[in-house]
Amino acid sequence: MQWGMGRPRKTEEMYMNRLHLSLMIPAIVLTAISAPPLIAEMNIDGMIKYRQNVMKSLAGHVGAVDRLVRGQVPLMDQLEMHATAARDITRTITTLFPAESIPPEVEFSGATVATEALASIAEKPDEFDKAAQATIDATEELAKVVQAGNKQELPLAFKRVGESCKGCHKDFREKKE
Amino acid sequence: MRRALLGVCLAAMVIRAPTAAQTSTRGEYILYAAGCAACHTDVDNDGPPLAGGRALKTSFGTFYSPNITPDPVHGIGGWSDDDFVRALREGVAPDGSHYYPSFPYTSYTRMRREDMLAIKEYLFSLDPVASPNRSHDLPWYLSFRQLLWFWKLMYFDKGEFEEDSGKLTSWNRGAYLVLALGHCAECHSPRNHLGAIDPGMRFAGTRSGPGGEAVPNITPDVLTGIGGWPRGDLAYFLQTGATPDGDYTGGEMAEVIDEGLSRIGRSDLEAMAEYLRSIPPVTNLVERPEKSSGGETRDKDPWE
Repeated sequence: MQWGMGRPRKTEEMYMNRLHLSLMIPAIVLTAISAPPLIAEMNIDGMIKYRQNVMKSLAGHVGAVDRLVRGQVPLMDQLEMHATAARDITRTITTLFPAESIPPEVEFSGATVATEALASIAEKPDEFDKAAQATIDATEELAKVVQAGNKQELPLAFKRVGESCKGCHKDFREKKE
Repeated sequence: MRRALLGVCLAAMVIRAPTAAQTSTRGEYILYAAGCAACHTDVDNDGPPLAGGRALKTSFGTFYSPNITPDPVHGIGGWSDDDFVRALREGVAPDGSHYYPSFPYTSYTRMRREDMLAIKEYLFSLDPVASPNRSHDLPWYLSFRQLLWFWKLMYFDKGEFEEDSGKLTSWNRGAYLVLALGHCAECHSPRNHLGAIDPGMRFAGTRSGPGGEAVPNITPDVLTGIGGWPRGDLAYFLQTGATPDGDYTGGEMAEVIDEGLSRIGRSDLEAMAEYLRSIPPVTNLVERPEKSSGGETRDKDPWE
């Protein structure tokens, strides 16, 4: 009677609920099948190049710190920027080696980009994690030394960073060229 | 007079006490410069220092380094001075058998006798390690050491390093360190099918280095070698493993640095760099072995 159609209120509510549901369900289904996935699928070639790009950027910052520490460049006000950047990048190292992007799985993943990562990463995960942590610790320490302005400790702190890089590369990387 | 003066300088190079803080004797210093520790220690299996067992995988098979501690049964404890010199100078063992050139006597032959004996003196100061030697893993047709006599006839130039009187003392020192002690060419040069270094490509790198690794070109070629490296960076690399672009070396070269070059003096590393920058540049781009379509790795012939 409220709508001029003579239906009682309770029936009207039930009708509206069913109408809403009948419209919402198709909308939900359409949204689900057309929306992008919440977790992106990994492009193996892209992952390998991403890793290499990140590592090159790390080398860039470490190399910059090296030149500054050796006194070759009179831009010491940029030392902290490079040291903290190196620290921040190393914190991501362990996320850069998903199994599909390193040997042996990469051999079967359809990758067309060559990786320098060795199978030892998958074969010795504890040792790899330890090596990565050594680099994280060394860059953390370097950043602290730089931020504290401790010039005396600087050469040794940087040397430890270099040693950690070399230590990891010795067992887990084969340079491409 | 000039040659006499040069002779005095060279003698000083030989006799001069080591300056690196990590060595206590001249023999130890020369041992590190010669890279003995890296090859004669089975690092992968936590083997005792210099007790042998390190696997060197090559296209001819796998060679295992011997025990060079002064153990009288398994090491060199029973060797005389002449035995030791003959091993390095001629590649011949005390029993008269020939060594495979996986033992780089082809470079060590250039060492001065007094340097060889300094190494022996240092080795004999160490504790003996009774670690048995392991036989090489080679195909049957390569197990006849007598055949190495023919190989040496074709490819082995025996003899001590001779200085170039027209060059600086530092250059001669660098040449001695690179050619005799450091034996850099043994890894950084491509080899023919009989395992001899291609003389025209010495130091020019190879895709088939020790352990199947690609080994870079270290001639001063600007495009494919070290010619573009800023002055001072090469000596710094030999000391720390850091390349000019901030990268750090890995694999076998990291061990060469950790177990050898990082322990010798900066002036010697600079001399090595001076010598390497003076040799003729060779254009040779070295890349990792490529994969076949089946997903397996194969060596790419550098002459293809």
